[in-house]
Amino acid sequence: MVEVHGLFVGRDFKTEVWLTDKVRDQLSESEKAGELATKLEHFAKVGFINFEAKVGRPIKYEGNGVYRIGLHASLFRVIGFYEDDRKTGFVGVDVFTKGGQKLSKAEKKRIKDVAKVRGDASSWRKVPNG
Amino acid sequence: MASTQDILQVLDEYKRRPESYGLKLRLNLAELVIRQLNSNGWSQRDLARRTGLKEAYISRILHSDANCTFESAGKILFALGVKVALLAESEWTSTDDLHGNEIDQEGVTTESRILRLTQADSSQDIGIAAAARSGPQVALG
Repeated sequence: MVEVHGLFVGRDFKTEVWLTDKVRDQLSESEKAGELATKLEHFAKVGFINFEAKVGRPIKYEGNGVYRIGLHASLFRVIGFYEDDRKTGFVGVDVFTKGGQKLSKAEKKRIKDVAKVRGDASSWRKVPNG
Repeated sequence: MASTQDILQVLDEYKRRPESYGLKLRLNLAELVIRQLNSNGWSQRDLARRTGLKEAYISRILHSDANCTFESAGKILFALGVKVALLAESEWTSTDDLHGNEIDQEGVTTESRILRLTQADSSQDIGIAAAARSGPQVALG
């Protein structure tokens, strides 16, 4: 069971953000944690949809309902999916801390794994306080 | 293991640092450019071609990573047909200074400067891109 915790939740956010422990840990351990969190908060307030596209935007669609959030051009990617079609909540499941222009085989597999989580609603749950 | 509170604390501390004001400007510029790109149906490559700037540089601006010059921002906004205006706000209600230290409400004489964006063709306001403040009790650097 994948558990996700609310980071940016409530009426101030057009897209609520829920993250796994793994994503929270890597975010907080980053040297740029403050900057990354600020960006994520900004995206959440404005709405993720305003920053997404197939290419050339911070939030990139990877197929199968999975998105990759680029919180830094060359460092940090959060992989996850929207809770529903209205895109009012984003569930960040996995994270890459490095990467070139193209995804490696291992990174592609991890994106597929996130797609599996998305495809099975019983495989993840929100933890309200944490 | 990091909790949500840990991250929010990091975020709060970062927001009390001067560099967060620069990031906020970059985020607002990125947001504006992305909205206009989406509205125009342009790619970042289209924008690079129209501005003469490198596509990788445009990408860094869209990711809020580029510390771009006013000249570069001007090229981009011109290509997108967006004008930028700096406006001053007479009142500032915050009770802390740039470093996050609380200050006496009566001592607040800071003014905010609001970067307001207007569309070049219609002068119609399309949003507030950034806010910063300054005043005699705020020590920079």
